Amino acid sequence: MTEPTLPPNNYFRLVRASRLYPVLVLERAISVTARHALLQGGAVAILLALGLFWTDLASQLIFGLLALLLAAVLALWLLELFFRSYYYDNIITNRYGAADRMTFTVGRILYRARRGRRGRGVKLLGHLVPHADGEARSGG
Amino acid sequence: MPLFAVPLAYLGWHYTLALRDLIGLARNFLAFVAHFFSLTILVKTFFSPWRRLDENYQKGFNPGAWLQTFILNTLMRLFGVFCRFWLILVGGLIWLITFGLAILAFLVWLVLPAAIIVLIFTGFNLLLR
Repeated sequence: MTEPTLPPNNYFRLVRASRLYPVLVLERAISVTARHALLQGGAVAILLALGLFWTDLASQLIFGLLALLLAAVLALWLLELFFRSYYYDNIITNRYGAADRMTFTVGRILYRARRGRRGRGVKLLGHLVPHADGEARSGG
Repeated sequence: MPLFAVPLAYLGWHYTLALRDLIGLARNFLAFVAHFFSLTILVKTFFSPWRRLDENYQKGFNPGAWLQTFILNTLMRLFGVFCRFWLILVGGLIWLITFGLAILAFLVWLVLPAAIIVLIFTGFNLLLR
């Protein structure tokens, strides 16, 4: 049985075509609360590891763990900046262009909606875009 | 895989929008320092009497009064030059330090993604040695 062709305004495609898509994926993968908690925990762990530099416990293991910890915290911090750049430039200021089909909140609900399910996201987009729930109808 | 979209989009942002914002921030800092020390005004009014503490020359022929005013005005101008010179020097120095820090921040920002990769490799290298 062949896979039904998804209509161009299928909600998943709309979410994926949105310029907020990477931010939505990031928010789904590591939420803002989790990012902040991890950053704070990481900062404490780095301070503890730095404190071990001047003790007898300083070893390659500690240095290795510190390097990995620094890499993780740095990556998380940069991702947080990436998110904030969108957040303070567009999302919180409600500055969306004519090409934007959805806001961040709508995109987040839609992205969380499972494919092929008539969840909140599909219903919501059903009100916004005609036949947007085409994927759910087609049973994909 | 949607998660692959994040690093690619991130790198795109890191070297375009974020760099543009960073340059904007640096400009703001430099403008603030220049404005804080009134560098432009100080240069424009470098030889003016200090805080406009000068006298008008009296009308009529009075060499004594003229000389008195001339000496006072010259002293005020010299004092103005002295004060402005140091203010411009300190302000200019701080402006240069800010400029240097902005360049440093710009260079650090350019190598940050590479620094993460280097740290990961170093970490595993140290752990597995």
